[in-house]
Parts: sequence; structure tokens; C-alpha cells
Amino acid sequence: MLQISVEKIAGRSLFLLFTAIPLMAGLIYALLYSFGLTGILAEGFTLEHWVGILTDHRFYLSLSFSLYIAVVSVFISSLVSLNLTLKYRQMWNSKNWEWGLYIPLAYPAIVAAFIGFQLMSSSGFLSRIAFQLGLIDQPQEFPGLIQDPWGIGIITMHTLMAIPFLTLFWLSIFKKDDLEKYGQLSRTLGATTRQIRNRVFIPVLLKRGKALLILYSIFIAGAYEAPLLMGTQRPQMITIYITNKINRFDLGDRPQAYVALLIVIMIISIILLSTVGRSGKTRQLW
Amino acid sequence: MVSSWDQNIFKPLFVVFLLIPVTVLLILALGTQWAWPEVLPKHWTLSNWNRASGSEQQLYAGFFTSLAIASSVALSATLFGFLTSRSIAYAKHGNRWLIAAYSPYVISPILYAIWIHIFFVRGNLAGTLAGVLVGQFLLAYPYAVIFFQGFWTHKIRAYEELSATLGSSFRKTQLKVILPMATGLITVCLFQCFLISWFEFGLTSLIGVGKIKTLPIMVYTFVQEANIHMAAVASLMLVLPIFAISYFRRSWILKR
Repeated sequence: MLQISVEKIAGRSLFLLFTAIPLMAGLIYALLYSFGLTGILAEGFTLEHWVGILTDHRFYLSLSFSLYIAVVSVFISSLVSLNLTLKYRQMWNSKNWEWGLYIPLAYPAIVAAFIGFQLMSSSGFLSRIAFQLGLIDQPQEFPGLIQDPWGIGIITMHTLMAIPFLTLFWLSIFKKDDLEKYGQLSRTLGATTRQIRNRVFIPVLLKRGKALLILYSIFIAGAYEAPLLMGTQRPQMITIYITNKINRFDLGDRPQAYVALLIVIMIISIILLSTVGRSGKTRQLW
Repeated sequence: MVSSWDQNIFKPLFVVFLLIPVTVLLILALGTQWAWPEVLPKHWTLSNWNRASGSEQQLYAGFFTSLAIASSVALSATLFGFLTSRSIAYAKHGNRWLIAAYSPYVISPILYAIWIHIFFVRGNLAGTLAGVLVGQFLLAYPYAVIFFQGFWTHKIRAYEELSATLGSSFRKTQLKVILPMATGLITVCLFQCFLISWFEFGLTSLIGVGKIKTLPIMVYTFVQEANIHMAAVASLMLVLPIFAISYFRRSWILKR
């Protein structure tokens, strides 16, 4: 009994030491820094940095751009992956084809962004193929898919990375919940293939996957590597906006970086608490 | 359902989709003199690979640095993750505890790195190997704890209670009964924590200050220098071992 208590206390203490304590310490430091109470240039309590960020239109632009990239990427990849799951579910039953879905996940984001750049830039493979097909004469004529204001390159990369991941996720739910049987039951009751797909499979999959889709959107909004290689300076994704402020030689920008970080974390917390957290779905995801 | 004709079209398309990225990397890694508008390089050579070992590129050194960091992080995160996950899984409000574990991933590793960066600076760990190891451990450990939540089920608890009823001590139960049951999952967790560290870029670049040259950092450096051929070699060194391991040990992946 005593040994179990020791294990419980030691286990939880270590867990707190490696997870909650760095988070809380970081939170306190960021708050102090943002109010001018610590840091090399600190001169006492001030709201100047908060006002600076809250009135900086580039901050809102970065937040909106990140949200846009996340929503569009997750929307497209959800549509495609649901289609792939339902249309080719027999094919994915084969271990070899299922393994194929894991292959894109073996690319780190920095490598995927590099490949995307080499494919889609104005001097990349697609532009060269376009020239060979007589579609363009100069690299500049190739449409700007990389470092473009619409984030097409970033969206394409995240979408292509998300499709196999989400397909695997839908497949696991499909098998776990034995949806095929629901489909057979619906068919017996007279439902058509389209009705089974649109009124049985898709609603069940989306309901079960809601938490993951929200988390995945937050993950994409917080991505770093793809916007670093494939993004523009304006608009920037929020991670680039914050890291640029942190890494600048001008130390006066640092408190603003902490303010931006705190606001982003507040937004993420609100989204999670109002969607995933309340229903306690975090554990179900794994 | 889908017709076999439809599937016969989709299968080759899917294979092409899988082959494009690795083909791009191979073309860039094995080619030189790739001027626009040529689709393929003029010359094919292994010289990019030979240059990888040169004192200027030091790619092999980067490979072994990454390997050492990823192995250490995987071992330590899996060990501590397994040891501490039980107390979290059996906690009354386990989900609340797990919020702290999810945080680094939810707020994004790079933002988490900025969040904790100052403590590495104050502790003289910024720009050091030890700093990168600690930073990556703080990312991989929460993953390991979350990963093992699925292991501590009612069934495992029943085994623990049965073992205790039969007179076994807590330590003996864990070592002789529970640990053997968890071996498969521990292997999978080791592999996945290895991947987290092996692929890590944002936190490593911030805490390592560019001084700790892991393979992902080298890929980025080469891209910055517009040295796309070496960037492709570094990328292949990152992904090919993972392809090989995951092909020969498919169970590590397909299990989850």
C-alpha cells in the first residue's frame, strides 16, 4: 500500500516537473515580461506592449491568415479523405495499401516543405513541365504558388500531409464502430448507397472526428516549417510573426512577442475548452 | 462501393502520389547542373553524396548527432513516460492532468519552445547539446505519457489486483506481470518518440541557436544557402532510414 502511494506521488511529481511546471513558469515569465516587469529593458509596470500588439493590424492579419490556412487545409483534406475512406475502403483492408497511407507521414515537415518548394516554385518541376508542354516561356510566367499572399503552397502541403492521416483516422473509426453493419442495416431498410453514405457514414464519422479536426486545425495554425519555407513576409502566419519578434536584434520587440504568444494561447484555450475539453474527448483521441 | 475499373485507375495514381516526393529528392540528390527549363539534371553523379562527408558539409556528423539525440530522447521519454503514466491514468481526474501533456502539441512545439526558452538561456543550456536534449525530452515525454494511457485499462488493473491477492509485492507485479505485457507498446512508443526527436526542427533551432546541427537543421541551412542538392541529400538521410524501419517493422506502425 505504502509502495503504491510512493509510486503515485513520485509519478505525479515527475509528471508535473516535466509538463505543468515548465508551462506555469513560462506563463509567469511571459506575463511579467509582457507587463514590463522583467527583461533587460524592463522599466516597471506598463501596458504599452499590450496596447502595441492589440493595435497592430499585422498581428490580426497574422491571426486571420493562420486561421484561414488551417480552416481551408482541414476542410479540403476532410472532404478528400472522407471520399477516399468510403470509396476505397475495400482496398485499404489490404495491409500493403494501408501501409502506403503511412508513407507520407514519414516526411518531416521541413522536408515536405522543401519538396513542395521544389515542385511548385517558379523554377521548380511543375514550371519546367509547363515549359515543356508549351504553356509558359519564362519561369516568371508560372503562377505564384509559393510565397504567395493566398498561401497556396502552404495549404497544398498541409492538405497533402493531412489526407493520409485523416484517411487512416476515418478508417480506424469505420472499423472500430463497425459502420459496415449500419450500412447493411440501412440497406435492408431500403436506403440507397448515396443515402447510406450521406446520412449514416459521414455524420457518424464527422461526429466522432470533430475533436480531432479541431485539434488538427490548431496544429496547422501553429505550424512553423511550411510557412518558414513557403510563406511570405506579408501576410505571415502567427508562428512566424512571433518568432520574428523574438529573434530580432531589437530587444524592444520581445515583450510584444510575449503578448502575442499569450493572446494566441488564450485563444487556443478558449477554443479547446468550448469544444473539445468540455466533453472530455481528449482521451478518446489516442 | 466502387467499381473495379475505378479502383484500377486509383491504385496507380496513389502509387504515383507516394513516389513523387522521394523521386524529387532522388533527382536532386543524384543530379547536378539542373538549369531551367530542363526537367531532369544534365549529369547524374554520386558526388553530392561524397561531398556529404566533407568538412564543409558534415552531413554524416549531422546524421550521427541526430541519431544520438533521437535515441537518448526516445529512451528517456519512454522510460519516464511508462513509469509515470500509471499514476496519471489511475488519477481521479485523469483528463485534467493530461491537459498539461497535450499543451506542447496544441500550442505548437515552436511556440512552446519560445515559452520555455528563457529557462534554457538562464541555465546556460541554450546553444548546447544538453539544452537540445532537455528541450526535446520535454516534447517527447508528454507524448509518451499520453501514449501509455491506453495501456492502463481495467484489465491491467484486474491483473495487478489478482497478483497482489496472490501475495506478490507491487514492485514484483510491475516487473514480472505488467512489464512483459507492455513490451510491444514500449517498442512502439520508443519508435514514435524517436521520430518526434528525429524530425524536430522548430524547438531545436531556437534552443540549439543553430549550433547543434541535426539533420532537419541542416536541411533548412542548405535551403537557405540555395544548395538544393545537399538539402536533398540531407532530406534523404532523414527519411530513408524511417522508410526502411517502418517497412521491416510494419507492426510498430500498423498496431496503432
